[in-house]
Amino acid sequence: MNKTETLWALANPHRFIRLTNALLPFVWASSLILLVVGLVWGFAFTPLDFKQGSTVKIIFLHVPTALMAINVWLMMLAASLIWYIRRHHVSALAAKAAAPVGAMMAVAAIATGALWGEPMWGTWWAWDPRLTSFFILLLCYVGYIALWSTFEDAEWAADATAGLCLLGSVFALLSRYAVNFWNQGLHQGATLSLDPETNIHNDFYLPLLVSIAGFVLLSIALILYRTRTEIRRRRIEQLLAAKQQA
Amino acid sequence: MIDLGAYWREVILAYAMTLLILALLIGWSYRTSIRTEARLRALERETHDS
Repeated sequence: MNKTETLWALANPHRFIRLTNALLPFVWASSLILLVVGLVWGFAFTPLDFKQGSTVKIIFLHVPTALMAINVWLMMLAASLIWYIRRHHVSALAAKAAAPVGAMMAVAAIATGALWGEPMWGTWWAWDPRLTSFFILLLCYVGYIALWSTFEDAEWAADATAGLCLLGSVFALLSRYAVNFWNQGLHQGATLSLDPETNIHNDFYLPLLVSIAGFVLLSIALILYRTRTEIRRRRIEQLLAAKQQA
Repeated sequence: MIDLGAYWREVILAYAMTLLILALLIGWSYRTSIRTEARLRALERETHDS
């Protein structure tokens, strides 16, 4: 079986559940280990910044959660495109399952950003390009979750939410790249860079990488776990419909 | 003893809030999963019996 066949085999709900049964314990365990190591390292074993003091320690929460809020939406975009093109129900359900994960990551990113912003900028919030586009992304998440529950027909719901996902991707990309081309506002430029001159110091960089890896794996574990629940929920709907017809 | 300087409230609140959000998300996902699985099993049993 080649790699492409392996990917599309996941469109079969039974195969998806079988594969995730084997994968999930490892993903949960490694995410927990990386999160504990990254956050304890960041909180307790990194120095204070000469300008920002201890607030720099919020970076180990703020950057990974903001990154995941944007990346989960981009994952939902990929799943929505697969739904539009190949009509695989598991991909539509994976996008549905991922939305609350991305939304909660966005809430955490905004909350930690506000707690960091108040002592450093003198304000909890500013309508600068990155913050505004990120806030609109959060609203897109809320709208996406609400839209799923407004349709009785699952296919209509998947079509409509995939459309909203395409639209919201503008704000996901905007909030990622706004700091690079929109040179105004309070938010600083990108924290991570391939240029060693502008990248953050190794004292912060290494625990940040561990923390990001932990948040990435936790999001993957949650999305896989929640997708299985959505598959089972769909099966319940089918059984109830069959029961009513009988 | 970890020295968090003048901004210890903000740092501790940020960590506590994020961990709470993650705990709520994991707990809610687990609860929904358990309930859905139990309902599906009951329905499948019912369908099989009839």
